[in-house]
Amino acid sequence: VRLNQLGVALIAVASLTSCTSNGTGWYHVNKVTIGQARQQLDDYVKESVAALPAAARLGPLIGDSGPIPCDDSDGALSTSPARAQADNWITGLPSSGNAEYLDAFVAHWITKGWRIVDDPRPHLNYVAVANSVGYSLVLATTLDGLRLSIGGSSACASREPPETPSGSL
Amino acid sequence: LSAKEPTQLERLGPTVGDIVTPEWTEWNRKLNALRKKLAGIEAVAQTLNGQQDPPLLLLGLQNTGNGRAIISSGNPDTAANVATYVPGVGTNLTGIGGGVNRSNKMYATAQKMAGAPLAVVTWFGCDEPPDLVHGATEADAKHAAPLLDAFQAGLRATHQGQPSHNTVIGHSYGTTVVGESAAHGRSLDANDIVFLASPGVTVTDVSQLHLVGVGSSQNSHHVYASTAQGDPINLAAGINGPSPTDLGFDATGFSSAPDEGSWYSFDWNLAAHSSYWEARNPSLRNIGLIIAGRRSEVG
Repeated sequence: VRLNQLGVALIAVASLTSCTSNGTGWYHVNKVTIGQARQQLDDYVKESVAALPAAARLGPLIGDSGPIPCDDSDGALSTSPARAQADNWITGLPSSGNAEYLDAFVAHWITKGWRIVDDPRPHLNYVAVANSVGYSLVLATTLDGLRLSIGGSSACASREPPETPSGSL
Repeated sequence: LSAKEPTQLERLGPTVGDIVTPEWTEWNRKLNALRKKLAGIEAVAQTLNGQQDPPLLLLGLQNTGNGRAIISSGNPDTAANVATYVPGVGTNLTGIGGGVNRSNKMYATAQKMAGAPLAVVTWFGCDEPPDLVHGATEADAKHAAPLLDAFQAGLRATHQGQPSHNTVIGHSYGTTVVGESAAHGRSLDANDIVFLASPGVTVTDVSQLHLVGVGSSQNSHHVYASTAQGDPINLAAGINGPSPTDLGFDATGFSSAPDEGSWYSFDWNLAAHSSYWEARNPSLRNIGLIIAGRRSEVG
């Protein structure tokens, strides 16, 4: 039984390997760089905030989020295509309107042709939307309902050439 | 090698006439191994220099094997919630930046759910198999298990103030390492463990896992598992034990985006195996909730 399982697994592994070797795999890699994808994602985040009441402002949640690999095979975490990331707090709005903010966020993106991909409301104040080319956005509140946040991931994008290491260790 | 030897040997080349010399072959093997280790250390340095918030702390660095490093996003000695991310096959030190970015995404998500001080550790603390072909055995996991056990015990020992809520998250072959670390006479010092995209965790159900301070009858509430429907790893389940997502394993399951395709129709999607940190994927919010100790909200 174990040998049969191993055989099936090896087919899967061969598939994984072949996907990596052709440089594109089975996921769609957009013809943009990570930097361009990050700029597009930032624009979507700003557009989301603009869809909320005018007092809404973006605030830092963590520093500049680095890209997340689209591919785990062959140890390619550093070279494979990757998704740009964004994570911010949204400040300036009273928490009493949290439910309305999520509704406004969804309504804005639905009219733009995006779709809801994760919606655990009312269990959680959390909703995720995505477009057809791989970008996704999440608007959520903390579990205590006091803070509002926005996050997102870009489509898979090509890595830029690595910077030349400066100096020695 | 002396400082001048690499250049001299490279200029001489691998052959004398038509013969590849054993000396050159051996020298070239050593040189490539050293270059790989150096590239790994440079990747660690670049990662550490590239981020200030949350602060990155280097908890460990070794040049043994393929090179190893442990980096924490946030201070694990003072955080109320501390997670350890154990990556899968093919992982090597040159990819630690991508691993840390995944930890940062989990850090940000847990912050967005609970807001409490936290830390997420990227644990490149062992030599993972180079690919799933080699990952079809438990040998590397058996070697790695005592290292992960010792690290988790150290996290607990050095923590200041009230004990933190500790979670260990394995991905792919990393789940096999985590399972091995919590079984077969070993106990893993963690309050919760998460198996993502697992090819098996060396045991047949949660009762065979041992978490320090957790009674085995409670394991199903402290062991979580999820695999996306189109993830090709579904075909490898059974190699290192049944998938922890099987009902008979009795872990707490949670949602992952199905992505395109389904394993039973041989319509696998390579992207699904790496999709667990996408903003759109329910797995990300669930991981954030587990890290934050909010198990009643997981689903």
